[in-house]
Amino acid sequence: MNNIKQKLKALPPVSWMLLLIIIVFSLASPNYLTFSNFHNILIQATPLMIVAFAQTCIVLTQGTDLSLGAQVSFVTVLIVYLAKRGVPLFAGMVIAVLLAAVIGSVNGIIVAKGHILPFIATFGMQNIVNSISLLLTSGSSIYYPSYTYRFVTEATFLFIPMMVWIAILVFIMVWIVLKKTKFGTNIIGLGGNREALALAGINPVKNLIKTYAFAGFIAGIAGIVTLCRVESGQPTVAAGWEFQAVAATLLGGTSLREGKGGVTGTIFGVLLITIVKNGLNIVGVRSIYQNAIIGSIVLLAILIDAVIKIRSKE
Amino acid sequence: MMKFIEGIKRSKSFYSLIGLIGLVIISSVIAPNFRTLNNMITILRQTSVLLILSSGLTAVLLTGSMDLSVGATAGFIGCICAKLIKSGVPISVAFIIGIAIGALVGFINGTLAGILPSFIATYATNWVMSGLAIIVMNGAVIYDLPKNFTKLGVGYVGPIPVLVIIAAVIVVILYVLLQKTTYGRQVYAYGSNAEAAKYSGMPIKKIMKSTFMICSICAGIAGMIITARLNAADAAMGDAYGLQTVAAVVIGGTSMLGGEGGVGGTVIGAMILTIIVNVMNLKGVSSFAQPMVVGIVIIAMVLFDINSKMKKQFD
Repeated sequence: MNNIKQKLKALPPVSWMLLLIIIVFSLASPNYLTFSNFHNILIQATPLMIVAFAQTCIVLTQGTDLSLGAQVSFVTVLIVYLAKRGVPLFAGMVIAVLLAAVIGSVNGIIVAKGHILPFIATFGMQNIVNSISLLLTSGSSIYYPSYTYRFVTEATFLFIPMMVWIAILVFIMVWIVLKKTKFGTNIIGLGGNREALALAGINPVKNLIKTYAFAGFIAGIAGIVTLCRVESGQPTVAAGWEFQAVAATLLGGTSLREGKGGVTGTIFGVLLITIVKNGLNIVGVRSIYQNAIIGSIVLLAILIDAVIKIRSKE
Repeated sequence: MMKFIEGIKRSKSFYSLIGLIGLVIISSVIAPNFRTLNNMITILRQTSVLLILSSGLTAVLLTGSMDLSVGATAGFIGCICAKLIKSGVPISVAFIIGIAIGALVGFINGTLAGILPSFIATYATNWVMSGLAIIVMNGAVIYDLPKNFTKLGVGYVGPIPVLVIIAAVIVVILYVLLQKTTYGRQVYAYGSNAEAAKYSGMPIKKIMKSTFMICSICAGIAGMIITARLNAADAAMGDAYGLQTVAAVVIGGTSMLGGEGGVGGTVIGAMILTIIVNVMNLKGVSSFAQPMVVGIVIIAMVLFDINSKMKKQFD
């Protein structure tokens, strides 16, 4: 019995908030607790989930990458842009993901070699990347018809849609990298104690650049999934995701101060944000109210989490 | 005389000033219509709003914090004032309400920044503010505001635009407040060494909160002036200013790490930024390319700032 109690206490506070929110929404609407809605939530959560996995790696190094959302939008735009000019969709996807990794490594170089605070470097990069997407599309959405989109969003394997499988694979990849590889140990070391890392003969600069490149790579995959979901290249489709991903990461128990946490908690954070969005729609809250409500709930959740942490330290 | 020159050289804004002079020279060469008196007045008018926003943000950066919510706050307060004035509230009362809301937003930001890293807290309030602006506007646009109000944005006193005067007054007030008062010295002291400031008994939480309040009040005033200039209010009107404001302060030589720089540099930074955008417009560069230029300038300036700081450490 005590064992169960301890395990329950070890769960991040976000899981309790999640439970509370689900209860509130199911009381407010009979359509809420259904299988098809659960399916919807999973699909809605997937792109943000992948971005949040990338953000978790960055937050573990005590940074934040505010350019991830812009990178996702850029990937959707670039693939469609290339496809319209005769490049096969699959080749375009590979090019776009690699380019996202390059953008990430540029972020890493600026942060690590220039000693710039990550949020300002990536804030600058966010605008540079956004600009490129807007220039490629003249500011509107661009289209290229293909069956691939439907395959990724609708085809299922073991009752789970392909795009959710992609998220699961990315999760496993990030989890293995963080827990089982030397690179992962270094990422966590970067957030914990950089001097110790340097003393151990590990180059913090190189590892930081690698981390940002890795995050860019994952954001690229999120871009492919997003493209399949919206079936077009949209220069601002993922605006703000970078922050939702930071919020989800913090809610999932990854700390901005000491290199603690991991990618598993992030799942709860993303689910919380998605479930709030989905619930507001189902309960029938008018769309003009949604931005302010979601923003406030996320802010409140991060705040409660931070206060609990400060309290438990004292 | 040498001492005086040395003094200027050592100040952080020195390079920004040289940059500004260089930029003006280059601009007048590549864009002939840059040199006209009309364009100069346009630049002053365009700078004004940015100047009000970025002078306020300077106070926050001096403490080593960040406020990413200024754009949305300006938009939100502009929308509220437009709505109030349209429904018959006297202009002066609407103005006071706008400033009060600014103070409240700043108080909330400052309180949150004491618990969370400030850029995360204010990114979140940015989200909430732009959401609130949508609610206030109810998805519509307000236009055709009374002449007495739009005068703030488009009127003249003699040859000088009213909003240039408002911006100048705010800049002078903030300059005096930050450079010439005990409060200002406390802000600098807190920014350069928070621990030392804490142990010397300064009310550090109050200092931080107050800088956020100054910032959001400035954002409020800027929001009302944007509305007056446009003669309309729209929920998204402040969004474009968020990045530019951060850029102006950083270009002006105020350090992201706090304790260094000031409103004087920010004036130069705001001018540089406005001239860059102005010349891009004159040359017919797509407006989609503007964020890219601003982003590159921000990264370059911060790199430069950090590098010069590290060199100093080695000297």
